[in-house]
Amino acid sequence: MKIKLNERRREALVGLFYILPFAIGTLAFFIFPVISSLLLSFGDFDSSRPGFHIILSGLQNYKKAFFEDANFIPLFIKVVKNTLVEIPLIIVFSLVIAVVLGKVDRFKGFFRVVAVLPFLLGTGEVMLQLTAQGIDRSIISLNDGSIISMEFVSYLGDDIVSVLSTLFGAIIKALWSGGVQILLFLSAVQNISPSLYESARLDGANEYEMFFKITLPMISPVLLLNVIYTIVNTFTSSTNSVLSYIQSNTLLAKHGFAAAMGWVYFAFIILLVGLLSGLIGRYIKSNQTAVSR
Amino acid sequence: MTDKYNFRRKLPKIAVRLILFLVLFGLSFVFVYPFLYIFVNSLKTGDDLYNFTVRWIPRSLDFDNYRIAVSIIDYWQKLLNNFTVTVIASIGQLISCSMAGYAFARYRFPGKKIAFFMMILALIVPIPTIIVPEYITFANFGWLNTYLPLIVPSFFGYGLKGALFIFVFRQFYLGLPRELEEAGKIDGCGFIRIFTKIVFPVSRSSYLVVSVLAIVWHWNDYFEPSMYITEKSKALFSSAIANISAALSLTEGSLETTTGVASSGIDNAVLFAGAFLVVLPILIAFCFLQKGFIEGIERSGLTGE
Repeated sequence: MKIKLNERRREALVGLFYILPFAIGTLAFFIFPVISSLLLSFGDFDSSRPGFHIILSGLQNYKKAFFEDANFIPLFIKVVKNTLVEIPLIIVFSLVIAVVLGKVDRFKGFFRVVAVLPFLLGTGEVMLQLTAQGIDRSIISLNDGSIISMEFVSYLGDDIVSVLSTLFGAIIKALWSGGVQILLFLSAVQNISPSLYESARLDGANEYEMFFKITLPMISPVLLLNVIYTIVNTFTSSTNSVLSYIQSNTLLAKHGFAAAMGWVYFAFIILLVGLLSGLIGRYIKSNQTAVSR
Repeated sequence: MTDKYNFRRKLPKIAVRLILFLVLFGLSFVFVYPFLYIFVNSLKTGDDLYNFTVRWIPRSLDFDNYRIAVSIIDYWQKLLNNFTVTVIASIGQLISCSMAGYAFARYRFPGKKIAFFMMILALIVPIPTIIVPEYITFANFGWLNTYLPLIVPSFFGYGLKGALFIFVFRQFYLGLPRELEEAGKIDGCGFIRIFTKIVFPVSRSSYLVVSVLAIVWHWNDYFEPSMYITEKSKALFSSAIANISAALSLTEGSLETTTGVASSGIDNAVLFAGAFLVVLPILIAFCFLQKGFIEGIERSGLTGE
């Protein structure tokens, strides 16, 4: 009994040793900034005194963000809209590509490497500059008649053409930002035992049924991981206009206002992450109970 | 007879295969496109760039773009800066994040649940939300215009997406069988030697995955460097690239009013040349690491086995 207790204490000490850097980091670089930025969002710095003194002013910064500032709400809505389109596109396309790649036996290594390449540009400034140049639209350009004839383009009218090219642009961007997701899905797809598919085929299941009854439930944990990864990635990428607006306000020394916008933004992310992980978590659980029965 | 019959039965299968490969090669083109686009346009002269009949093959190669880009972004200095920050910060994250991930996977210690909750929270709190107090803290330390704000947090499990790396390591160690470590314990290894001599060698794949992710993200990061480093000589590639386009947008306005043809030496081709030069080192590094990276993702236990 005595030895066991010592053993447990020893384990705790070793564990604390390994977690120590992270614990210090959490205090210095996370808890402190989180709490003070939360305080700051309800006030602002005391400009008469040097150093870190906050004067609280209630909900004024939030009021400003929602009702007075002309830029924040439109930018926020734009970002929310873009992400709600982008995330499903990224997830669906990377899943489809992974499933297709899982069926291919030749050139698989080549395709995997190629699919990750855009990740190297990924969230960086280079990609931002390229999208500013319209590279995502130029790859499938409708206006030069190379894919659809010019007569047909003019028949469709400008509105439809612009909607179509926006859609194509969004798909291309989704493909470019899905490299890591494709790899994660692919390795999950390859981990599914082939005997499951064989027995399903013997029972007369078609490809479509096998995808929804076998593939999707089997990879649902990776689906959750990918969804969270994608949300976090899109919301912190430098192409995000809300982030640059918060940054410019920080540089203008409107610290309280910038912090309030940051927290509104965070509230939305945590809502989205919570909602999606709840939904997918329930899906995972229902699959597990179905299997155990 | 039977041959013909087999062929008929096989035909749809072959057709499906053919279509599949065509689709995949089409997709590969989409994935390679940004690199081709940057490279081709970086070699174009101003005339070719604005002439849309010249799409893939420039009529004459203009290496001047590279010369101008190198001088505008102060390439060699920035390369050294980027290299320093990327390498040191990535090493810091590899050490601290693997330690934390190992603690989460293997040990029971007081406060574990709180620490885990903090990690999940750190994963989803965006940097802009907490940038103001961090900025002021670092300013009080006198760390502005140094690389310390980018480097020091990475040695404590933070820095760019540190929480994600901790999660990756945790998942990997959870999937690693305990037998090896127990054998080491019986042989009388201390816990540090177990980690460095037994655990580390068998977990190379997860270290490789994290180092590729960390290197790429640190190399491209824009938000934090642009906040903490305002001095031009210390700036990183990301802000240098942003500055090229600022210089370009000034000249571009005057271009459109004249003929739509670039007449000055500075045009978008310079931006592409700069972009290519910035991406090139990371592309070369990836060539060496890609095999281990892709196999590592499959072995890292992230996808559950």
